[in-house]
Amino acid sequence: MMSRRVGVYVRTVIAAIASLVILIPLYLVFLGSLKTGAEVVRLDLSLPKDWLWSNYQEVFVKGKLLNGFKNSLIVTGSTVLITVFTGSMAAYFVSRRTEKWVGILFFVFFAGLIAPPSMIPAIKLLQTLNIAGEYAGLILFLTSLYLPLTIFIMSGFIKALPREIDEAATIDGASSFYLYSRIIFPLLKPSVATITVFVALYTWNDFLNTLYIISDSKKWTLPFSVYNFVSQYGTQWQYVFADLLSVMLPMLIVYLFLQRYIIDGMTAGSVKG
Amino acid sequence: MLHRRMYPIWFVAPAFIIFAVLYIFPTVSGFYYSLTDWSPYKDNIKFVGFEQYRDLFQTKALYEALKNTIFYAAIVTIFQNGIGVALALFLNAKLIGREFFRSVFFLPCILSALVVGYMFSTVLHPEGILNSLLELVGLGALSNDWLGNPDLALYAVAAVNVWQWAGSSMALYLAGLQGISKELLEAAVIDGTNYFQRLRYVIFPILMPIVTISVVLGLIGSMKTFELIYATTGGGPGDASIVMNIFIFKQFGQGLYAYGTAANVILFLVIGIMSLVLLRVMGRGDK
Repeated sequence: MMSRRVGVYVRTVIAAIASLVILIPLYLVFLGSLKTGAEVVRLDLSLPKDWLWSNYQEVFVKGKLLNGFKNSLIVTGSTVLITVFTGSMAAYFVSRRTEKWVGILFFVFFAGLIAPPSMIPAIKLLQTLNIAGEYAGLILFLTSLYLPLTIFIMSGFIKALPREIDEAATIDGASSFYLYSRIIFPLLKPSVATITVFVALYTWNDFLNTLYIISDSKKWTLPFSVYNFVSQYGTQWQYVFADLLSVMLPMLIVYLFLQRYIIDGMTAGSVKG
Repeated sequence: MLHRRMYPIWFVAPAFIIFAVLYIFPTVSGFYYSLTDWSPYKDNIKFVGFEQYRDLFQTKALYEALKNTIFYAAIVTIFQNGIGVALALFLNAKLIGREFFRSVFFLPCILSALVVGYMFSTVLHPEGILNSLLELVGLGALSNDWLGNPDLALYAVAAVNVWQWAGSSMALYLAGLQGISKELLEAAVIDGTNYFQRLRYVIFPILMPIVTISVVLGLIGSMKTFELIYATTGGGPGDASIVMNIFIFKQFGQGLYAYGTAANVILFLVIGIMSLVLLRVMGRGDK
């Protein structure tokens, strides 16, 4: 019995040491964000002489963080809404209808989980549609990227709901949209939470697609704010660090409160890779 | 008939239209553009057959990118899953603050690749903390310009990728471990098995299907990698850490649209063929 107790302590110590691998780089960013330009170039873990909280003020203004935050909210919010709404309806359709072509349609969506998108022709298309460089273009493009996973995960949930619900409601006179929106959709809550977390995180952190589609720096999402300090003044690491931490902060706060959902959502999504 | 009224076609229409217009159409039109001389500087697009592909296959950077893409995907997938399994087993055992450690290891998954990229360009800097740490423990000889050394850059970025995503594999395997019944493990203990025997004969067989899916999808996903490499080395030094999506982005930046699109078609085909092969192999494993 004694050795069991010792085992617990040994494992705890090992886990603590291993978790330093994750925590030290974050700690480095935190310390660096409070240093002067001269101190920070050493890139070490020494404590700052004076804790320069004013670096954050600088970053907040020069990095236009408020604007970036607003842009991120617009893009993430819209992408989640459109993806969940259109994706859940499509999932409901493909998992209920039994015709052969519907099976093929499901397979076409499924292929979208694997095939890489063709970025350059996509930009050309957005230009033709007059939404290149616009939020609308980015939002719709991201939606098209996340729809396959949404349909894949949600149709798994929908197949578990008995068809008798649909039939009973229809016989009682419910219209198809009423049936979907008032009866089916509320039953899908767990999968809606999963998809929302996954799409929100990936959109909030998106880099590749935003880089291709959005060229106007006024429309940059929050993560791009770091470029204000890398390109404009040469690299001023204290500001870069303060910016990185400011960008992380909203995610960290959300993670603190919604950890369970986030881990579940990302795990379901990671089946996508 | 009721069937069609309950689930009308317009339910699937919005999703299908978005997907068809923004995903399928660019992919299909990409096949055509890759056979033209399309660029932003030309008014008329001319059909040139396989000229772009001929050029591509004479470009050293393409081979470099293809080789690196496959290498990177393989390394990342192996280590991410290996460390993920180890973490899951470890954090499934009894220890103090288990939930806290799980959240810590998962934490990097919620960060933007840009943030992680910039963070590690300082950690891996020649004067960064990794080298200081190596010196501290007397391994100063190993210190290196991790991202600036052409022989190491790709591995360094792959390591950062594993740093960020191992926690997601951990969460996946932890979920799998919860599915193993206590009775089964207790029975194995009563039968006098040691830990490694239980691992080998009880735990791994149950985890195996998750490992297979995670590895296959991880490989496919990592072949589309872009963000971390772009934020750390940008594909450099030279073309030492270039991957397909960086190669394509560079062509886009230079206005070589048709050429870049042709490279995208190659990536599409490589991933497509690999997926078919892997799914076939997986399908056989299930039987």
